[in-house]
Amino acid sequence: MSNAPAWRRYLRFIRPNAAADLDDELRDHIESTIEELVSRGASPESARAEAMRRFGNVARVRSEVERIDATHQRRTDRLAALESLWYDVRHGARGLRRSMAFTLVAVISIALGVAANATIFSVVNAVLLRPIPGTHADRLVRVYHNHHSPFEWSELAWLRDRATHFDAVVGERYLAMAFRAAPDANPERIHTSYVTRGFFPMFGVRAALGRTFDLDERSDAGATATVAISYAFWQRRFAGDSAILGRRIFLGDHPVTVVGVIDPQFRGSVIGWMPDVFVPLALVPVLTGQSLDDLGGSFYTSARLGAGVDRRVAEAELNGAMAQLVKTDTTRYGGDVRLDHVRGVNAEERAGAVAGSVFLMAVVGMVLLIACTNVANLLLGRAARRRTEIGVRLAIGASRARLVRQFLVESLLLSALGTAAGFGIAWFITRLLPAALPAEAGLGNDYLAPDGRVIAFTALLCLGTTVVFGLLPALRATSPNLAGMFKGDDAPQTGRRSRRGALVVVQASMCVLLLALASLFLRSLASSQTVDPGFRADGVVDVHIDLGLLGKSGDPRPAFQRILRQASAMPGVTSATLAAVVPLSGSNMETRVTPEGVVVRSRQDSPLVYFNVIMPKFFTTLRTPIVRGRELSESDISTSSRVAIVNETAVKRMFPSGDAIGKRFHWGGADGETYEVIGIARDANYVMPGESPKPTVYLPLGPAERMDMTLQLRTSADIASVRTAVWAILRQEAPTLPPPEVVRMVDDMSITLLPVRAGAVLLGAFGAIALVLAGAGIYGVASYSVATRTKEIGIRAALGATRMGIVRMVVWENGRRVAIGAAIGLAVTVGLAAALGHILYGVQAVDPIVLGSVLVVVAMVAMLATLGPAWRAARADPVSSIRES
Amino acid sequence: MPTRDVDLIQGTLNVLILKTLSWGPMNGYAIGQWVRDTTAGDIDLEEGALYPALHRMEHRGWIESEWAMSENNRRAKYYKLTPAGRRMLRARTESWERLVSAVGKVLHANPRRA
Repeated sequence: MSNAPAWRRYLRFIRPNAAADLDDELRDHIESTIEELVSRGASPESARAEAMRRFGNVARVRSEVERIDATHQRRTDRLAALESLWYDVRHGARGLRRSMAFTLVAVISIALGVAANATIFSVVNAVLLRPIPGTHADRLVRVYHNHHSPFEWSELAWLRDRATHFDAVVGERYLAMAFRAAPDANPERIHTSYVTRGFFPMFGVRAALGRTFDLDERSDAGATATVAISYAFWQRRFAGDSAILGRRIFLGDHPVTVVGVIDPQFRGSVIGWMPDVFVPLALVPVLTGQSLDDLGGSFYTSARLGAGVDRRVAEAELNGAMAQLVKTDTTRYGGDVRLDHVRGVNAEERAGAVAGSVFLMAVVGMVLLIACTNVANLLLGRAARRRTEIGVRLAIGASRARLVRQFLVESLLLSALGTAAGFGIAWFITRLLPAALPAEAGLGNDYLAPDGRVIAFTALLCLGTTVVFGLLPALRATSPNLAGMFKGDDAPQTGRRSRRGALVVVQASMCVLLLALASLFLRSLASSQTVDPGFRADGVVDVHIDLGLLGKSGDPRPAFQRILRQASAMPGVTSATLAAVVPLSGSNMETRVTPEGVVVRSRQDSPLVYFNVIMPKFFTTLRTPIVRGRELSESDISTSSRVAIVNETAVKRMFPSGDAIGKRFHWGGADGETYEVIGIARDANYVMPGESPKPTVYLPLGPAERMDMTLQLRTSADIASVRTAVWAILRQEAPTLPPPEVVRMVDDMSITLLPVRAGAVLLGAFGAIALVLAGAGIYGVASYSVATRTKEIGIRAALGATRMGIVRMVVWENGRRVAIGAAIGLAVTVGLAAALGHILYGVQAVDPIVLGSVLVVVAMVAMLATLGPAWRAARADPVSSIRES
Repeated sequence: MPTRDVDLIQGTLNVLILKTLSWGPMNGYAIGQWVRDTTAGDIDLEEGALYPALHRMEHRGWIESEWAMSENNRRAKYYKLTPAGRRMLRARTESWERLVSAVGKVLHANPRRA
C-alpha cells in the first residue's frame, strides 16, 4: 500500500460509493487468487473456477456485507443527526442566555398564552372529553330515552331483563335527602344516589375503605340497610375517620349502616353529580315505604356492551324491547332508545357545552396567537441583528435548511420554556378553580387537574407555536441575499417592514375583538340590572323547601298550606307564596296546551307555553299586576280546582278573539285535562332577563305534584332569622327535616347571569392579557423601526424636520397599522355579537359607546407604546446618527 | 484439497483475522492466504466469509481500512489493527489459551483411583 499514490485515499471523498468500493474489494480478492494460480501454472479458466470455489457464493457475501454496512450506516447517521441537534440545542441555549431580556419577554408571552389555553382545555377536557373512569371504558355506553337521559324504574328493569348484548345495564338516581350522623344530631341536606344491581362492578369501582355493595332489587329487598359513602363526604363530614365502617347513620328517618368509602376517583356516573351517599335501590321500600313500581323516578342509565358487540346491534335490541313495553301500556310508555358514549356531560347538555367550549377555545387561541406574534416580532428583530453572521455562514456553504433548523431549534427552546411555565400556571389555576366554586358543587381539588390528554394538547401547542412564530423569522433571516448582508446593510427593506407591520395589524385586530366582546358582556351584565323583569325581586327572600327529603311522598298540599299560613304570619312578612319555579333562577317548565274548541291540525294549534305551579298570593308577593280576573285562592288549592292564570302574551296566543276570562284550554292535546282561565297577569320574564314576552300559564299546586317548592316571602327580616323561623315551622311538619336553604331572590336570579358573568370575567382577563401583549408587541416594532432608521431620521432632522414632526411620523406609522387592525377587529366583533345575541340581552351588536371606548383604550395603549421610541428618535443627535452609520 | 474439518465459528474467525493483522496491514486476499499457509491447510475457510467479518470488525473499531493500489495496480482495501483491536486480540488470546489448557487437562486426565 505504500506505493499507492497519496491522492488515491481521497478518492472516496469525491466518490463515496459503497457499492463500487465493495465491488473493487471483492474483485481484488478474486483476481489476486487467479493471478497466483496462473503463476503456478494453472490455465486461466481453471484458475478462475478454483478462485470462485475458494471464495464461495459471491452474491451471498456481497448482500451480507451490504446489509452489515447499511445497518452501521443507519446507526452512524442517527448518531450524527442527534449530535448535530444537540449542537443546535446548546448553541440555541447559549444564544438565549446571552440575550436574557429577549428570552424573558418571549417566554413570558408564550407562558401567558399557553396558560390560558391549557386552563381552558382542562375545563373542556373535564366537561366534554374525559370518560367516566372504569374498566372496559371503551365498551361503556350511556342509554338515552328520546334523546334525554332519564328512564323510569319500570322501563329500566324491563330493558335490563331483555338485554342480552350487554354485560350489564345499570341506573343511578340522584336526589337530595335529609341526613343525620346520629339519632339526636341535627339533620342536614345531602345528595344521595340510588344505584341498581351491578352498578359498582360495571364501573369497576372499588372501595377506598371497607367494601362496596351489590344488592338485587328483587331478591335482596329485605336486606340489611347498608350504604357506602363518597370519599369527599367521608373527608368533609367525618374527617376521614376510619371508625366510619359499621357506623349507623340516618337517611330520612331510617338508620342505615355504612359499609364502605368509595374510591375518590368515582363521583357517580354523571358528570356534575356529587353524591354523598350511595344507596342500594333495593332499600327503597325500607327507606320510603314505597314499592319500587310506584317509584317512577329518573334513572340515568348506563351499560357495558358485551365483548365484540356492535353498538347499533345492541341499540336495536333495546329498541325492540322498548317496543314490547309500549304495547303493555301505550299511554304510559313510548319513545326510542339510543346509545351514546359516556364522555363528558350528557347528550342533552352537550350542545351548550360544546358551544361554550368552542367559544372559549377560540378566545384563548387568539391570546396565544397574539403571544406568538409578539415572539415572531422579537425573533425578526433578533434575526436582523444577526444578518452579518448568517450571511457569512451562508457564504461559506452552510445549507439554508441547516440554518433554518438552527433557528427552529432556538424557537423550540423558547417554546418549550414558555410552555412549561404556562403549563405550571395552568396546573396551579386548575387546582384553585374548584375551590373558587361553591362548596355545594363539591368538586375535588383534582377535578379539573390536567391529565394525559391535557398534557398531549399542551405539547401540541408547544410544537404548533414553534412553527407559527418561528418559521417566518427563520425563513426570512436565511433568505439568500448575501450582498445586502455583507454590506452590513441594516436598512429595513420594505418587505420586512410590511411583514412586521402586518403582525401589528393582527395583534391590534385580535386585541380589539377580545376587549370589545368583553365589554359587550359587561354591558349586558349592567343592562340586565336595569331591565324590568315584570316583577320586583328586591325585598323577596326565597326559602327552598323539600318535603321529599325524608323519602316520603303523598299529597303535599296540606303541609304546604299549613307552612304558608304560618310563614305569612311571621314578623316582618307582608306577603308570602309558594312556587315550583322561581322566575329567572335557571330552571323552567314547558308544555303544550290546546285552547278548548280548537281542532288540532298542526303543532301551531297547540302552542308551546311556559308554565309554573304556584300557591295563592304569588302575584301579590312578586308585585306582578293581575290585569283582569283574580289570583288563586286557598280553596282553589284545597278543592283541586282546574283553574289557571295566564299572562297577556298567552292570551294573545291562545285566545286571540277576545276576553280570556272563563275560557278553557286542554293540557297537552285536545284530550288533555281542562283548565279554566280565572285571571290574566301582566307579562314577566321567566327564563332570561329582558326576553321578549313568552306565553306563560300558572297552575295551582295539585295533589300529585312535587314535594319541593320555594317559599317566597316579601319581608323585612334578615336571612338568618327567616331561616330559623321557617325551620321551626318545618319541624312541626317533620322533626327530622334539615334547615332549609334561604337566599335573597336576587341571588337566586344571579344564576341566569352566570354565563354572561363568566364571559365578562374570562374575556376581561384574556382581553387584558391581550392588551399587555399587544402593547409590548407594538413597542417592540416601534423601537426596532426607529433603531434601524437612525440614519434616515438623522437626515430628516438635518434637513430641518422638527422633533414633533419626527414623533408624529413614527407614531403615525404604527398608528396606521393599529387603525387597520382595529377596523378588522371591529368588523369581526359586530359579526360575532349578532351570533351571541341569545346570551347578550339588552345589548345591540353595534353599541357605539362600548366599541368607542374599546377603541380609545387600544389607541391609548398603542400611543403609549410608540411614544417612547418616537421620542428617542426625535432626541437623537442628527450629526452623530448619520456619521455612525 | 483438505475438507473443512474445523468449523469456524464467528468468534474464532475474528481472532484469526486479528492475529493475522497483528503482523501488519493486509487486504482480504492476503489475510486468507496467511491463515491457510500458517495452518498448512488445516483451516480451509471459505474466503468469502472473511468479508462480513472484516466489515463488522471495522464498524466496531477493532480494525480500520485504507484504499491503496496493489502490486498489480488494482484498487485494493488494506486493513490494519487499531489499538482497540490489539487489546481485543490480547484478551481473546488469553481466554482461548485458558480454555485450551482447561479442556486439555480434562482430556488428558487419568483416573486417580481405579
